[in-house]
Amino acid sequence: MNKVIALLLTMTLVIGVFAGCQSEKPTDTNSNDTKVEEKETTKEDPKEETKEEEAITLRYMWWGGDSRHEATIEAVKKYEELNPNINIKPEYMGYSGYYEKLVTQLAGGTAADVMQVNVPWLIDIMRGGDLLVDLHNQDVVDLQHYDNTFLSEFCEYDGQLVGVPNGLNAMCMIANKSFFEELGVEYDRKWTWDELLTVGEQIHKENTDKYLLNQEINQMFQFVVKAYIYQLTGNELILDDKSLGFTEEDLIKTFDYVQQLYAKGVIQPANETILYVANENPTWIDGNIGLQVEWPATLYRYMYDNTDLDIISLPVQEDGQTEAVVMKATMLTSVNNNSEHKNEALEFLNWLMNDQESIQILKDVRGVPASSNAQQLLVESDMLNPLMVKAIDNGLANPFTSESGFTNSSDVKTIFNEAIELLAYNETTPEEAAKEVILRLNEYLN
Amino acid sequence: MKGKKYEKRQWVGLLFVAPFIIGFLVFKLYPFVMSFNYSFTEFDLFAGAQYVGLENYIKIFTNDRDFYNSLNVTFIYTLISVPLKIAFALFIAGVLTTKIRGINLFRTIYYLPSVLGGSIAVSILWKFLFVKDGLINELLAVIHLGPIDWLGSPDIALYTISMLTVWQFGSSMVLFLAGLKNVPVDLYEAARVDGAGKVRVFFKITLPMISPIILFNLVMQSINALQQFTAAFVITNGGPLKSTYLYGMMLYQQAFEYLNMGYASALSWILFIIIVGLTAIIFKSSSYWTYYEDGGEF
Amino acid sequence: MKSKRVLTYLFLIALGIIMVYPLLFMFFAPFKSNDEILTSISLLPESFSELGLSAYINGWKAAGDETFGVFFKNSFMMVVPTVIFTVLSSSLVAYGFARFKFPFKRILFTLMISAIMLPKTVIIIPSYLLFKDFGWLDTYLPFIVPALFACNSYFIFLFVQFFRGLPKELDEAAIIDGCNVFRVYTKIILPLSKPAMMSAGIFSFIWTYNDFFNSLIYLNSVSKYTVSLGLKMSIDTQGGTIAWNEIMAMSVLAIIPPTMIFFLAQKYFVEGISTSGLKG
Repeated sequence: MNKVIALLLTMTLVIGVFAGCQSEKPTDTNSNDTKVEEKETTKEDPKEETKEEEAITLRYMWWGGDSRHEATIEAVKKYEELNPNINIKPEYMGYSGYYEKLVTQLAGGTAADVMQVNVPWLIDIMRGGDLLVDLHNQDVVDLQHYDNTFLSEFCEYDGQLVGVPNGLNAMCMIANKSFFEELGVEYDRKWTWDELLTVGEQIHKENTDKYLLNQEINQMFQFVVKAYIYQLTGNELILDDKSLGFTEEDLIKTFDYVQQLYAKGVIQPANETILYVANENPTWIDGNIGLQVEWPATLYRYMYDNTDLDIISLPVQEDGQTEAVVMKATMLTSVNNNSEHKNEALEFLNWLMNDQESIQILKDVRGVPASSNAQQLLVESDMLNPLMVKAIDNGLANPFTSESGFTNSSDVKTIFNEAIELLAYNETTPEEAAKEVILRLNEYLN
Repeated sequence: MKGKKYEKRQWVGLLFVAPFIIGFLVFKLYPFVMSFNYSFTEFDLFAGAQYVGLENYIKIFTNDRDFYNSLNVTFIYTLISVPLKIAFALFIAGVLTTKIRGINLFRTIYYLPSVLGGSIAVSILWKFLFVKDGLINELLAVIHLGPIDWLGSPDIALYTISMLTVWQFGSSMVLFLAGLKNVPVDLYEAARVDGAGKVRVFFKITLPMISPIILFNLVMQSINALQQFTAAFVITNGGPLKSTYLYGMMLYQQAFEYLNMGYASALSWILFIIIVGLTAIIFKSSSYWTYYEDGGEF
Repeated sequence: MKSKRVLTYLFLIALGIIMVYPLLFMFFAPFKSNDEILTSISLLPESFSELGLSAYINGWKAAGDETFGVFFKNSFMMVVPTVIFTVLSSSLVAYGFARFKFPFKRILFTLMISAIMLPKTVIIIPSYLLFKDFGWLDTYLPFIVPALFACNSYFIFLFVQFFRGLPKELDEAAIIDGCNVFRVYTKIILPLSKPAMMSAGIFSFIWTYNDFFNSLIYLNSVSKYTVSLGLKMSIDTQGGTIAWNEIMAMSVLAIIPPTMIFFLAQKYFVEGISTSGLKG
């Protein structure tokens, strides 16, 4: 008797599961299709014939904030209206967790048909080979309005054009005008790195609560160290043959500079900034910091009541090898190479990037558009933020360059970040740090 | 007669645990085996897996810059946060059994931090409390102490993070509340008749009676603390100078930042062994200090 | 005696303020601007403007087509079955462990406990592949079905510890009275362990409800997003402004269900049982 009841109980548990399975079965193989059918049938169907045509669902995944979500959904709807047989399923989210999700999906073979990808990720996610469609090998997406050098420099991995650049980013300095007006310091000029030191030291000496530069430790590598080394040597950090683009001496000089930034009070002490991402640092929000080396696409994040922003060009080296500005694509939109509807996905991508209507809907939600056509259209209709345009013009006016390959790898980033943190906390000397970094880089690269 | 009945009941027990057995076989075994497999490979999620034997393990023990530090950080974190959290939870649970007005509200309020979890407000707020010119230092200044660099100093940050964990003592508290309820009232009455003082009652009756729950909290909180990383991840991101770089965080970065699944799996299995060992010790020792109404047969 | 009571109150209130401060901060944050949220610890906003209400309204709309109404509904569709199944299956399995001797029991118990000892980070990908093969992606089944099979050992162990605290004579007496083991479980063990069931229910509710990472990995359609996914949907660290007041507004709404659940359930933690009646 006891047995029977216990058995029954387990049985119900088991049956429950199978029932669960069964009811879900139809959606199993392609949960998207069923959804399409539902949608199709419930639609008031302006065109009966479209039903004959096979309905196709494309998944489109991106990260962003509210404005990007809204504009992109609007564009997607427009496209569905124009192409009744295509159903686009938007999968959007915030930045947090996006990379992990993308990685899991790519590894599991379940990635969306069209997806937004960040350029620095390529080095890590493209090791598997042809996960993304090589746009050199197709003629659906029209690339004539994109600068060829830009494409090859910024959007290629191993010779494959893995995505269309959405927007342009040219490293710049974001300046808080009111900070400088209050102090009577001229900011709108070409700074040298050394001037940042002297002016910054002066400012902090006279106003102990003010700092010239706002850079959290994790940004130091991207915006100070890389830029500094690059201008010093004219080389990318890691060259294509996996050798280092700098000497130990260069690195010592750079690290010495970083340490001085802290020692002279140009930058707020590390233990005060370590908790904040740069744009949420209360000292910045209160208007007590003047400059920030950044990508212009993040401009909006630095705007607060006490800050009146302007954009100026990156500092340069007095006797450096180059004044070229590092540029990058804000992000790429790529097509999944394993997509069942590659062609339709490419068509959609083409429309998204090149169609007038789409351009006017999306505006600058992914940065200043990379296509000259789109730029022109938006400038004419006054739809771009002039500051962002200024930054891009600055970049394009100078010789510009990209960061690619191992320079972007997360391992390299970590190696540098750890050294920079030790420098900021005065726990090491530039010489020791440089030695350690070179040792570890070689270890990683081989 | 009795023997036969007992025999029967044995197999019934297996039926009761059947759902777990099925669940384990279907949902747990495969990931378990896979991760064990990965730990002997150089498994780049995209480039595929390559068998490398014990290489990962050898590298971890001989040539990993973070391994020993993270292990150390994690042990300190566990040793501080777990006992404090449990003691605090037990104490508060004791207070909250008092019969006073509004006790329901207090219980809810004390549980709130655990409901908030890793919410954004919490991380913003913690910074306000613990930065150099934050609220805590202002309070300390009133009694002419400090300021203390709670989160910016590599010597202190880990302790601060541990405190923040203790703050979320709610779930342990709830279990103690539930455990205290299971203590038969007549035991207390009997003790009172014998003239035992409050302290004596606590140590002679309450503590033994809820010792199974203490064991549970101890085991679970330790397992949890050894794997923990969200607190440090959200507030200090492992810094400053890796002073809060918990093992779990190192593991997460290896897996999802550097995409070294094989290496991360090896790290996981080392942690697994450590946790198993520690738990075994706690269980072994528990026979000396736990009391079970079922007579301790298991 | 009276002064002691006052002291207890003072202590409870002082501690309570520390505990509840973040909640109050969250509650008033929708009335503040981004500047104020990020730079000022004070509770009350500089001025009560209509900002607060609009933060709730705009926040509720979320981004795109979906509203938080949908996210709340989704959270419940995911959480409610998960909680019910977890409590039922875990207590059932725990009863087996706590009250019977059977072959392989020690091994199974060790397996059960060790199932939570392997860091989840490395199990994510294989589990994902498994659920993909089952065709469960973009559904709540990766949460619900494992709950049906007592896959969270935390709860099994929890129930085991509680059941073992109950005198064995209770079920033996019942068996002699002709009860079968299943009736013992439903009529004696479960009623006596209401506080344990409540604890398990509360925990599994809050943990499933707050889960971000698994939901993020398994759910693709925005129309299936849960509250915790919805809360982070507008945060892009790469560009664009973040409306903190809207996020705070939704965070306030988000913690209402778990708080209510706790408030309603906690009355089961009040007084000790009187065993005299049971022991007869």
